[in-house]
Amino acid sequence: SMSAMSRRPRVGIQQKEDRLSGLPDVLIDHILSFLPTKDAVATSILSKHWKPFWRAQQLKLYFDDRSFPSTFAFLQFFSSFMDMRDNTLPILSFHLICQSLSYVDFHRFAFEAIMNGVENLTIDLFLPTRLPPLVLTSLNLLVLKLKRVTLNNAPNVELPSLKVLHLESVTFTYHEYLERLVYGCPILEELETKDLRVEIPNMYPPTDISTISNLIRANISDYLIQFEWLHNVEHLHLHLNRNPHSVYSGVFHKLTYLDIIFNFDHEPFAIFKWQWLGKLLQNTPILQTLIIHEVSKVHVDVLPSFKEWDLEREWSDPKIVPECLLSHLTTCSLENYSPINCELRFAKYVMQNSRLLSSMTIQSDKLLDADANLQMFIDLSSCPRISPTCKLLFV
Amino acid sequence: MAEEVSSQMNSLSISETNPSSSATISLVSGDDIVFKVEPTIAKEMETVQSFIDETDGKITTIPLPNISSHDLPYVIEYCEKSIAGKITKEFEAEFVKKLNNEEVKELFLAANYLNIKKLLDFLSQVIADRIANKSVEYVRRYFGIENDFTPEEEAKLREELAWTFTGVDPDDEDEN
Repeated sequence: SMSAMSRRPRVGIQQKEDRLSGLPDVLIDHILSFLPTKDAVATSILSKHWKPFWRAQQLKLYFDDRSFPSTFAFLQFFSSFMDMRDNTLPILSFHLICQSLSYVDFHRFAFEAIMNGVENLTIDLFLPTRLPPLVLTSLNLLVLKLKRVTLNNAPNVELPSLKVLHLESVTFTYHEYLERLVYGCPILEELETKDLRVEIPNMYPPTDISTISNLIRANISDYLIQFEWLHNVEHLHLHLNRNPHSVYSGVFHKLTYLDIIFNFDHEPFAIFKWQWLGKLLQNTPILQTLIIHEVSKVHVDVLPSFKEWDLEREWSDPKIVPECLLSHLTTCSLENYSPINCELRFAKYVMQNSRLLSSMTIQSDKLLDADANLQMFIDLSSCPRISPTCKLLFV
Repeated sequence: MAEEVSSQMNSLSISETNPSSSATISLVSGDDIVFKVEPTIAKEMETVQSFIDETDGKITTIPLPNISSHDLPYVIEYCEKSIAGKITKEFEAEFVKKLNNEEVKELFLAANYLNIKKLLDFLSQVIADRIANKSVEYVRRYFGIENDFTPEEEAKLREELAWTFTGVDPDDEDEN
């Protein structure tokens, strides 16, 4: 190991210091590109050699008002910086973090970023603020990440180059504004959403899924995104804290990787979990990797009885084996796993029916005692596996 | 009981690593310590890999005069995690916790020399985090930079750039 390694005499300290102060210019540039813009400017005072670097280092800007004593100082910094920067250079990446920002000032930041051809824009606000409309009609934007902004005027969205869209705690006046945003990005490849909110719930207009057929990856943690929009994804991460209200009946015909987190905080939400999962597996014909992570400790078996649902709320082996198990699934991982009835039956079903399965990984719930762990180990190890190469791993 | 379970589980989870048919690569540190690594590790190090490719794989002992035997294990550890697809935020936080400022800088130069982009970017971010919002004097000490401005020149620059020197953190004790 590392500590056992013999430590030969190292190069003298003095020599190393010299080597470091002579840091190659390309590495100085590299470090500057990771620094907040405020600190990048400050390096100009280190030495004569370092003085010119910040002006050439303008492609990636990072502004965070928390490192300034006041909003005034922050805004003054921004104005001075924009005046002094080499304005023949474009701004490729613009990252803004603000605890407090008026709409007028927000508009100014956004204006400078968009007018300088920004391709990668990240806005992370602490208080919800209206998004300046000009952000949504940029021809250059490739990546847009928004946190705590509000879209409360009918947005005209035209983002023809956008490939990556992340939305967190974004508020839309109407659901329709969310749709306009997504449909305004014709070549979108990656969508990540969390805690979206609609102020005035209304009817969903009919969906035209053809407009977002390029979506490849999605990471969805809320319920405003319609599954229809995800029909073409290859890689899907779902975080569910209540039951999906709509069961998408279409087929995810390109989905190869599915990662689901079940995090039901109220017991009744767990009722349809197994039924939903069973249907989903019927609709993912080429799925290769399935990862299920249980956060919640609510198990349908211990829920009070809801007579008419009793049959539906448990895992029941489907009458027809899902196509993905017959011909594609190679990797299954069950995390924070407790071997209670349905969970055990599900794991066995996957092992008994997945012809190409190469690994079934069980990461058991840390709270599980040794007896329960041993029992699970015995139960699962003795379960027949149809795939001759399937390994059962306990981690 | 608990131990029994875990030992059974371990024996079950030992993965069947294929007996490697290809020769291992020997990396020789600047202070002449030999580290044997799998060819897949060498692939992560572009400088090493291009050396191997240029000699059609005939030479498998590669001298790395700029990298000490103290730093090389860290580089190898990072590359191993990288090919296993296990570079997580947690791993990176643990990895960097072990390193003092001097070691971070040495590994940064090593990553550049070996041309390991992921490690270089990661360490750039570590360095950036360690000097962000620090005083000019602190950053000079950090990089071992000699101030070659006259006091008058420096005062004038500070005045011109006063807008950027607001709200700087008080200096920490230097680590080294």
